[in-house]
Amino acid sequence: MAGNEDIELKQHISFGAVVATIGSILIALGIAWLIALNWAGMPSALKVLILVSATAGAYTAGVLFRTHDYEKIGGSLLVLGALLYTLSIFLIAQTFNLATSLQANAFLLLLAWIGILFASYVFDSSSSLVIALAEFLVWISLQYFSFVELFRGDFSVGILAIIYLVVGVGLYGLTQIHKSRDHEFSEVYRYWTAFYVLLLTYILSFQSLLTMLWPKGFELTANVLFFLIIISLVAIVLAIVGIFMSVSKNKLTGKEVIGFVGLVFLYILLISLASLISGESVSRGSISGGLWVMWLFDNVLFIFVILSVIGYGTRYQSAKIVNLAIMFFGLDIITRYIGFVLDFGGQVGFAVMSIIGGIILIAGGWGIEKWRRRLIEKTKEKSSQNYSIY
Amino acid sequence: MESKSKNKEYMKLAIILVVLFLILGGFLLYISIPLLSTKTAVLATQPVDPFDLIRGQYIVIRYEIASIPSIEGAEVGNNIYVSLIEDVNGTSRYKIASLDKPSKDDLFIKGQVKSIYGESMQVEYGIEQYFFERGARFETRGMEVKVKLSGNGGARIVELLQDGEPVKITYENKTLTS
Repeated sequence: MAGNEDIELKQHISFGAVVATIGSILIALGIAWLIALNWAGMPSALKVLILVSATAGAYTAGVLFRTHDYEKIGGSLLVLGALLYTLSIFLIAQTFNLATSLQANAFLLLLAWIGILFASYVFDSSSSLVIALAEFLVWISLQYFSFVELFRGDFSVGILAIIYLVVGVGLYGLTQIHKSRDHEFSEVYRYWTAFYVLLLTYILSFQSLLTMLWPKGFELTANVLFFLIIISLVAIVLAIVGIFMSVSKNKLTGKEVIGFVGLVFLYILLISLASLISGESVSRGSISGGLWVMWLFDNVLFIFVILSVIGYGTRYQSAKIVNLAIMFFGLDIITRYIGFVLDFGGQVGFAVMSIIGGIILIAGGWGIEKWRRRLIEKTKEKSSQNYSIY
Repeated sequence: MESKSKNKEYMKLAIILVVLFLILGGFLLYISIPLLSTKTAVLATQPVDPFDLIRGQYIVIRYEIASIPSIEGAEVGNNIYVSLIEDVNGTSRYKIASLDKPSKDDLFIKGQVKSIYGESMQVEYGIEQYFFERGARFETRGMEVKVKLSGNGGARIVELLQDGEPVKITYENKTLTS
């Protein structure tokens, strides 16, 4: 009976805390709205002060909640602090009418993710790390596109693919470094490694993009080459150090290392071989045999990588990684279906294929969801299975 | 949480706030440098079409000095220094361009070559956008832009001018339902 009273009391306290939190949010929203109404007339210095104060306030509140055993609320406020910090940078840039070019925005994002990454390590906050890595993805993509814009270089999907491959290698190294130290960030880096690998393979699964990997007459500009060399060196060092640290603590098997290295070389080979089909036509009826073979191989590889990532997620008991792989599987199905309809259907054909495709998607959606739930259950049940996909 | 752990958390908070403020402060200082300068210039703009050029909440400003005669040795991506000369109305016009930085006593602005077509080249100076609040209205015809120039030619917009006077920006009245 005393136990039931305690539970009831805690529920009341929790309910009270939730109501109070909602009230606080409403007050904050009202104040923010009033500020927004008068934003135009405010001097620039005051605008900057408001933003910086909001950032400091969010971080301070986050720490206070964490020190009073409200970890989850504190973590959310740290994420809010990270987002406000990013917003502060962009609004300061807007206040001073900074350039809106891709390079200018890439520079702003660089300042943003570096600060948030530092904060995530100091606070040991996985959610802040996720924000930093998300901003890193946008930054590195923007930085590549800004090179193309700045120097009127030819757009080469191959360079972008190499960048994502290099980042994946670096993230794998970071995963191993943190795993060797039993740091919780290893889970986050593991997830993002899987994400980059799946993203890269997804890009390579498009027939139209394969011919754009290495456009005819493409020349690598000095700045892009320098950028590639720097990030490659950093990634390789991280991977070597991470693998060494994990292997020395028996947290990484030789089979996994061989599998990882083999996969990297396979990607390098695929990206390089795309030069053989550079600039070829992708219009119906004129696609070469070489392009068909490469496209088919890349799509089979995509399925293989998805299944491997599922196995990887199952091995490391990560439901998030399994979900990620299934999401990409669903994306693959939808993408291939749309491509098939566009390439092979006339109007009647499109209507028929839409109906058939809809039925397949509904049935497939039910099947995939059932499969996903079974995999998640299996992942949660496994404790020390020695299953390795490599 | 124990008091030692709390103190550690507060120390971490102090470190983070100092570091983030240093980053933001450094960034602010870097972009404010031209505004600390005493050199100003009033630049003429070419006609701005508000329907084409307003994207989101800023306008794209095209300057008279955006298109200048090409110079030998200039390539796309190069930094270029455009020396300015004031006319009788106080507007700073193109005088000469160079790949080398002029003397500090000259009035000049730094830009980047975006494209070269025959005898002329397009240059951008990093001041081609002006942000304003949603619902703002102002006249853009015959607009001039007052900028501050740092010692190395970097520029920052100070204000927009029309007939020598600051542009009047009006904002829509905000109501509870707007």
